[in-house]
Amino acid sequence: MLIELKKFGDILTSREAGREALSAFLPTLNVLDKNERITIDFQGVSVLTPSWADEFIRPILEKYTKRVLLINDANPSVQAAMRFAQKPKLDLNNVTVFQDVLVFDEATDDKIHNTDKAVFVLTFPYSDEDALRILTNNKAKKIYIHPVDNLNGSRLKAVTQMLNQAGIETVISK
Amino acid sequence: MENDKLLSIGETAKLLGVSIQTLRRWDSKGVLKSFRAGASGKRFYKQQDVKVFLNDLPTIGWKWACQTTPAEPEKEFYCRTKDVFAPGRLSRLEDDLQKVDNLGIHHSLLTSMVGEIGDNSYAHNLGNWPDIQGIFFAYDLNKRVIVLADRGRGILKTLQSVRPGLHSHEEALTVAFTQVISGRFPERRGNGLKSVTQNVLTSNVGLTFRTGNAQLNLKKGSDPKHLDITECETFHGCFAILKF
Repeated sequence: MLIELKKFGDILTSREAGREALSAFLPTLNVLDKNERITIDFQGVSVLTPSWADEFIRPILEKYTKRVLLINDANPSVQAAMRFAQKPKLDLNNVTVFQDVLVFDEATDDKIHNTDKAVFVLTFPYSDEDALRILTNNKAKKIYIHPVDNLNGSRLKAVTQMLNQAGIETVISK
Repeated sequence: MENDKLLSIGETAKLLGVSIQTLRRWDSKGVLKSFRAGASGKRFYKQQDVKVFLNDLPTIGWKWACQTTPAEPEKEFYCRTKDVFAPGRLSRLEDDLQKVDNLGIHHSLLTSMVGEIGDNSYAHNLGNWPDIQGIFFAYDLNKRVIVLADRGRGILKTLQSVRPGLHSHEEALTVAFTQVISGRFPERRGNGLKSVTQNVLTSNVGLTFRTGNAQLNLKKGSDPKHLDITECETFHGCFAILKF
């Protein structure tokens, strides 16, 4: 199946518009054969934002994983949006501690960024319990902790204790 | 000043202090567009366009965003509903940016950033606009500046619905520009402003973003782990300047 994005417009922005486009397209997508491949063609798209891609392209990528082929995707805004439409890989060696949540760094890839240097980005915030589960499931042994400015001392201590008790060595860095 | 009045190319040149040749060049480059009127096919300029040229857009936008008596902005800058903004005027911006030399970023990325900032205003204030619905959106390619503003609820109030632990506008700005989080529960995505951060850090576009009493100053080389956030005059919406 060929999905020509230009049929949805040449300026593809906003979460609402992406969601609307996907709802309209779902009936077509639902008749896909079991092993049929999907080609997403970006030809004719002048601007694509991460929000639109998040709503239209991400669900397709998630559902049909290895059956999706992207073509004519050289436009820089398309490249950048696709970078965000894919799930971020968590860097389990670095976590930022906020008063209420923990946020892992993202494992960045220079090639994906298409820039000289990978750029620091944060990912989803996790509750302490969820973060601990991710770390233990991945058998993490050591982690660098980055407290945000003005973080309550007892909060930092609690997080450190939680990780140490799970057998994870912690190094606090600013 | 009557906004719909037309000026001759001579009058316009005199007002702006430039030559007629310069105006013709600006016309072909889309910097300041003229209109052909009448059988003679002579160039005319809209007085409003000239007024915009003479005025500083960031000042106009900021005044509108924080004025105590709510009022709609001038119609040239006003996108009351989302469709007026995008694809509408955003599409025109994308066309116009392609004519600018040394943009410092690919035009599609700059348009994408503007799209994310503007769309954010609508998405987070839908049904909740405190006074004036919609956004202020204007750009001046000659001064290389794009301005967006809203009189919405601001980032702190929006994010507090999913992060009640947030207490200051400064914290809210940090979360909005560096974390993937959405204020629209139960949606857990919020790549828009984070992508703006990434684009600024890797280009020659500078961003000033105000919300509440906090102002984020972001440019190439900024440290995203220690954002430069200063205090500004308090208002309830969002205000952004992109310089390229």
